[in-house]
Amino acid sequence: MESTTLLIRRIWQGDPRAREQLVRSYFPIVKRMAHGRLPARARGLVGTDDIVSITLTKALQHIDTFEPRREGAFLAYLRQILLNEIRSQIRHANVRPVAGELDEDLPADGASPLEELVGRDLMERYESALDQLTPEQRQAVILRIEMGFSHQEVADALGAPSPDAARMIVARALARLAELLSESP
Amino acid sequence: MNARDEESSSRELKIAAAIDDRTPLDWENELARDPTLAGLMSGLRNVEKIASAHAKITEELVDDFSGFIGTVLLHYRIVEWIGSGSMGAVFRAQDEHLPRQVAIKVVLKKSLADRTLGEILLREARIACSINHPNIATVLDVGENERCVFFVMEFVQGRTLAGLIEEHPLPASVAVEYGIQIASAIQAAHDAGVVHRDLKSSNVCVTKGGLVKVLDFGIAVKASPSILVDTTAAESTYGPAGMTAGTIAYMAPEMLRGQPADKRSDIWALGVTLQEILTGTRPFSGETRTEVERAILREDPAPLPASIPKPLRSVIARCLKKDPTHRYQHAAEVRAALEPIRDSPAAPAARPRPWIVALGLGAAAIIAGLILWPPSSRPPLSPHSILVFPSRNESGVAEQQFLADGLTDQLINTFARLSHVSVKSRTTSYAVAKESKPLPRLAQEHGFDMMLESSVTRTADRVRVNVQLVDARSDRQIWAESYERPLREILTLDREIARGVTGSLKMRLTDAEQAGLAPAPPVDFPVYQAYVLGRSLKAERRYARAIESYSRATRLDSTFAPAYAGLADCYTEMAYYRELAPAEALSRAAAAATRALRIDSTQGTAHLALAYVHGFQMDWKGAKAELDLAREDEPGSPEVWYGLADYLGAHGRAGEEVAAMERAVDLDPLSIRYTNELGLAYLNAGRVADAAAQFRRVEKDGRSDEARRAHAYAARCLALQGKSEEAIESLRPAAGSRATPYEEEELAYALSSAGKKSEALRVLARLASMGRGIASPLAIAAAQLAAGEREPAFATLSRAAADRDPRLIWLGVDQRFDSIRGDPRYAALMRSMGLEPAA
Repeated sequence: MESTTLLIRRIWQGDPRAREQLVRSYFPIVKRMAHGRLPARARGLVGTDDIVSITLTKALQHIDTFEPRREGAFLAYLRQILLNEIRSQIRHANVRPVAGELDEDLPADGASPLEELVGRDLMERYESALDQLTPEQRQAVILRIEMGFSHQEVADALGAPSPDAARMIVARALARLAELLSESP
Repeated sequence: MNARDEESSSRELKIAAAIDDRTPLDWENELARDPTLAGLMSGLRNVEKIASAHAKITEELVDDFSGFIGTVLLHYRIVEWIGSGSMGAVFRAQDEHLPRQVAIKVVLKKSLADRTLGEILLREARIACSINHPNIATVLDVGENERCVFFVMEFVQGRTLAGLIEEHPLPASVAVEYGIQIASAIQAAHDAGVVHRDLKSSNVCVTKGGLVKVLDFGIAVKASPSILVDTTAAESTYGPAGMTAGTIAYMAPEMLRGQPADKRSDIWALGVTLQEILTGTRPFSGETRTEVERAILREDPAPLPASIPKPLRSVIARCLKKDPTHRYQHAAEVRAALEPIRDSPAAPAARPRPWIVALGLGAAAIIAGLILWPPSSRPPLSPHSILVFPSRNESGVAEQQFLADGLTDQLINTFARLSHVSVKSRTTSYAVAKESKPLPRLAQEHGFDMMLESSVTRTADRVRVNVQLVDARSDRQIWAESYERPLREILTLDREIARGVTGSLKMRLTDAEQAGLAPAPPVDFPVYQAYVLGRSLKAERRYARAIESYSRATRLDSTFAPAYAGLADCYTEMAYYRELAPAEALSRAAAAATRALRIDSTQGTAHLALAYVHGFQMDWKGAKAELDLAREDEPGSPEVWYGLADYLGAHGRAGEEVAAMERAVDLDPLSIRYTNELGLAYLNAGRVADAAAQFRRVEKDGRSDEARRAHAYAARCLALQGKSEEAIESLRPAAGSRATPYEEEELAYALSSAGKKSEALRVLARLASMGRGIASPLAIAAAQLAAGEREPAFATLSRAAADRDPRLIWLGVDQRFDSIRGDPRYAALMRSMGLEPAA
């Protein structure tokens, strides 16, 4: 993949091909992110793809104001837009509260697959804990834990010198996250 | 940090690293080794939980979905994953034998409780393959391999009824329309011996064109196996216990009692669905499964609001009779009961067209300057008169509105190329879209008999379009189709749609027309984007920016003819409106038009631009030749007819000018500019009363430029009818408003006609002070003549002729100059413009 920073520079310079290329490269990645986050109830027949498209379009709309130093930052930026978009979809889907409870395949409140696995409360705490990490740590968690990047890929995305360095950043980020997610004060 | 802290911290990191590497952790053991971790342990556990959950989701995706992508089942290549349910996933796939997309539902064998179920599913689906009905998503194929059982289905793009209802309940008229379509689907399936058993709002899909498609006929894998087994008389140990509450809400009482499901159970489910469409809630509800079951078995359905027509309430009530023998026995009966409700005059407004009022900003900008009067009912001009309803941007992103606008334009232009179709113009389309009247009424008022609706979605580098052709008088669907193409082929889509439409209407096309519908050369998306933007800017008369956009398109692709034609179009209009010195504008227009035609000789817009270039240069022969070519390329374009009307008027052929202008207005009845021009054509033909009627219609548009122009011309009509005082009175500017040049011109003429020469001269002086080129030389000369100033009038006209002012071409037909027709100077003026002086 051509360096994201370079692609974004080319977009700034008005190169429309760079735009297309960026969308093509990130579509599957954002789709993967969306998959675990989108409650089935908020998902129409083609909903996931649509949400991914919207996310990428919105990201590109504001690309002029975004200066990523690393790919990791860009992914975190995409992720944020995606989460906002999903939240707004859920708000939309929640217009009809009563009958929704009986929808098949879905827990009562239309939880996302991730929420189904770990519980909504923990997911919310996780999101707010992520916010308290340093940008590098946050990106490390997203890349490694959420996206399943290899340590080499994490290193590339974060501009870390080696996979081992990336491993260390991830471990520290997780330890910090654990601190924030401890039950005891 | 002391040594112990450091140790603890490093252990903590080790655990974190273990989580990271997905090494299984023995938490108790870790805690035993380092009790100081106790405080942090819950946090680490939580992190592990989150990491495992993410990993699990990713694995699922890889196992169940990615593994299939790119593989071929039978002859269907799996392209992308669309969605998942509890037992399987649905993919979009490409048929390798036929050029079509399909949906494939894959049920993993590991999720089937036993082999019998797989066999039953396959048997059912094979029967379902025999059903062919427009309201059923047809099962095209079934198959199995060692991993899965799969069902190949028609690929339906749209939204589930459940999704639509979630936004808000739908009006009764929509419920009735959908009910009829669902009932038709059920009847067709029942006729083929297939019972759905799992009909519910999430199994019904509505395309953007309003076509209902019932999904999962014969492959309702989520239905209880026991129910599936009922009709096959096989034994089963499964019962409704395994079902979720969501499905239970649609289950008929007899099914809950464990009796076999039959056709009448589908009719029950239809009743539940109808009530859900109308109210947003199901007739039997409860907090728990048991409560829902109790409600279905014992309670009356939740009452429907009195606002829902009584006959409709009765239909639903009968569908929901607890005793199946008291329900409708056949879906056809439900349909028969619903149809009179739809067709009754008291029925609420027509068909579902949820986006009729929800057009995006792009559309609003384009229709700026429109007037919405009740137009006279005109009979359609051609055997097929079509309104292209503005395409709907389905992506939900305003930025992509231009895709929809672009398609609307393309469709209109493409239909304008067909001689047997009369297509309403862009102005009319966007205006009609703003009206919330039943379709048959709109059709009558605006003179069209068919409507083409469409919606556009873009995903990455592909574009999808759903279209539907509707008989506007009866509001029934004639034809519907979905298209999906790479973005590069977007300019071919409208031609394909036109081929579909003409095919469905069994229309005969000439060879040239057929050639015009052949695939267009591919275009890079950014080129297309720049081109569409140029077009909409030009429609708003923002020429400079439109030129910028078109030029960007030509820079990106120097072989893209439509952008050159667009440039030519901009320059000719700029010459007409004097936004650029005519000589310069015309030479640029000529260059751009020539370039466009070198690439593609069938660019009607370029021919028309060249016609204007020739006309401005008083080369009438050249103008006529180009007009003929433009007409050949685009016989249904109002612009072309307008150009022709100008040509005819210049040549003193007022009767023919009127006919051509009437044709332009028929094609674009809501264009106030054309309506004004038709009024002027009537004036040229001496039909003052008819002219006045046109101007009065446009005047209702209020303060728009065209409305004020119409107001001024209406005053001229009064003056010509001898009511000069009335004309003067009508032209008195409202307090605080300044008169436009048009109003001043007509005021000068009215004052002169009323014998108020000195006042008239004062107005003329004001006009002169506006600067050269603003006031029409024809208008000034007419006022001078009416004031008895014959010499100055000729001086004005001669100056204008020397300037090659295009407004002078009406000299031969304008009746205000009747008094000078015998003067040799008049004949000389006409000849200087290359025109024959009228007798």
